[in-house]
Amino acid sequence: MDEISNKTLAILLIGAIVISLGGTLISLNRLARIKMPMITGFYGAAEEAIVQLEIEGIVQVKFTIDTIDWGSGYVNSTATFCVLNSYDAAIGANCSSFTPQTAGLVLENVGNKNVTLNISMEKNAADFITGSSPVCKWNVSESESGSAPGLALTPGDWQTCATTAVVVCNSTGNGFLATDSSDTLHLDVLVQIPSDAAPGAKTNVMTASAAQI
Amino acid sequence: MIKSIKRIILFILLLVFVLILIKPIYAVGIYFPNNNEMDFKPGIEKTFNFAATPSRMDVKLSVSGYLSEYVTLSKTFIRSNSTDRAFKVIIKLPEKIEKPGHHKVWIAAEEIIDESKISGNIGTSCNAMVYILIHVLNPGKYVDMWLSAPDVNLNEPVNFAVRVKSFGEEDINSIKAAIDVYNPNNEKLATVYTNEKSLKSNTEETLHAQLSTAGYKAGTYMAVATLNYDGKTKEDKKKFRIGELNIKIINYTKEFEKDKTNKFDIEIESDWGNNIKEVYGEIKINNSIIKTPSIGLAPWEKKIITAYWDTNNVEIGVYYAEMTIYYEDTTTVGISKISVVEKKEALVEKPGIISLNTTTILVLIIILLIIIDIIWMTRKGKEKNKLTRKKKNRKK
Repeated sequence: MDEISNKTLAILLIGAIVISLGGTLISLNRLARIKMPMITGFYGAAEEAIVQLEIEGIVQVKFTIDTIDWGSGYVNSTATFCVLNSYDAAIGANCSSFTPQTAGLVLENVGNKNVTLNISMEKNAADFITGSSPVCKWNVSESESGSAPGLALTPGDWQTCATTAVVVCNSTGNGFLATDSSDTLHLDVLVQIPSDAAPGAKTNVMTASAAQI
Repeated sequence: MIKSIKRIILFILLLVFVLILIKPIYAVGIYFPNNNEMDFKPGIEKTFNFAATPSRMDVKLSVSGYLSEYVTLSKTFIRSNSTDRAFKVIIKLPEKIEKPGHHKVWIAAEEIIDESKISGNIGTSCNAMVYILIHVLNPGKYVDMWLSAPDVNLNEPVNFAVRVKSFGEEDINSIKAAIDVYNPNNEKLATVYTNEKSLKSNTEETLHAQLSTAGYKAGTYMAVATLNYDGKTKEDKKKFRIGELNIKIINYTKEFEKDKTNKFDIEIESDWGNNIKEVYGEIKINNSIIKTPSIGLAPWEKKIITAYWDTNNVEIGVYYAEMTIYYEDTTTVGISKISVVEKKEALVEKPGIISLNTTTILVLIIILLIIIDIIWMTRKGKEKNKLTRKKKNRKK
């Protein structure tokens, strides 16, 4: 599916803004006609006050895109396997009826502390997909440049789905940053479904564990 | 008629509301106090207040790390729908701890995976871990030290600072550091000495020393501080820069498309320890000159400046580009080869079915806003017309 162009979006947005501003102006004009008793401020002697607050620390990472759903489908009878990934606009050769996924998963450091990051999967390929020689892999890259100075993996390199956690970011360069402009990672998943995989709903869970640096 | 319009507006508003609130994403995190450290004293007890953020799944709380046996949590489980998400971490240390050092006790909040709350083939969960730092003093004399060496400009002195913290049970009579300075070729240039102080157990002091850089060239230098405390030594090292008023050309665009207005990016880096205002570039290709807008550079900052090159009527081939960067009455010049290549095919948008992704939802919301505004304004206009007509009729 093609995205709607930026131009169309811009036109729609400008239209909405113009109409909203028009409405606001009309409303403000009408409000101005409402008469209220005159109230004025009283100027007193200058007073000093102390404004104090303390911001607590928070360690939290969150998947802002948290699901990959290829839907249901099957491996063509002439093939021994087919491959699905979370970044191609088309499903793999020999796959039928699945829905292509392109957004992957997006993980953001929404806390105010830099963290180290580990990733694990709930199931390995055999438990997730079943059948002969199934494959389940994931990879990571920076969604916002400079988000992870402590990236311990080569961006785009495939990691095997395993219940044992993989160190994604260590504490080098402050690990996975909490800075709003650079605090987002992108994760893609790839699965290879053998033709003899047991039918049924297949679910796996990716767990991101963040630890304070 | 008015009723049906009201219903439509209500329906649209509800739809907008539902679209906005579609699938809120929660993941567990931990709020913790800023003062999350404590010094060991025999039998000391301290309570820290923590809280877990809202989460889609139930949360398990746990403790790990050396000394975790002396830590208890006020709760170890929080249901996803619970509004009481605060918990206490109570630390009661023993009379004696064998291993001195800075020990981290980790507090973890883990989402308990519930597949009924996972949609799609790949779902997600999140865990968070924070720590409480417990400082256990070493027997005898023991220190940790940190050297700081600030960057300076040519001929400016470097003010070194050596922060020393005692983590020993005994007081120290004398702490003093010698700082050796090495040039970029790793040749020793000078040694400077800090003042001398005494240091009580479990307290902190800072020692100072100054290096004169007269005659030193610009570059990256290394400072190695050796701390002497009552006959024992400890070392720390830091790099520092001596800057000069210079801007380097780090990178630039090398390939351009024919018959197009191309971006010509030049990446520059300041070697200067102060701000540089009004930095701009001029690029001379054949006999034409293009310019970039002016920018400012912070100390040792890297930035990209951009000019635009129109390659209409420029033949495919290799050209020499003379890039001149102007700043503070001086210039940096670089001459490099660039190439003009055939124009690449532009990506054409193909018509397709609209799926319900974020962009589509946003577009729908905008369209709905426009519709609501139009309906509202039309209605108001009609009502106003009616009122005007009525008034006219009464006058008649």
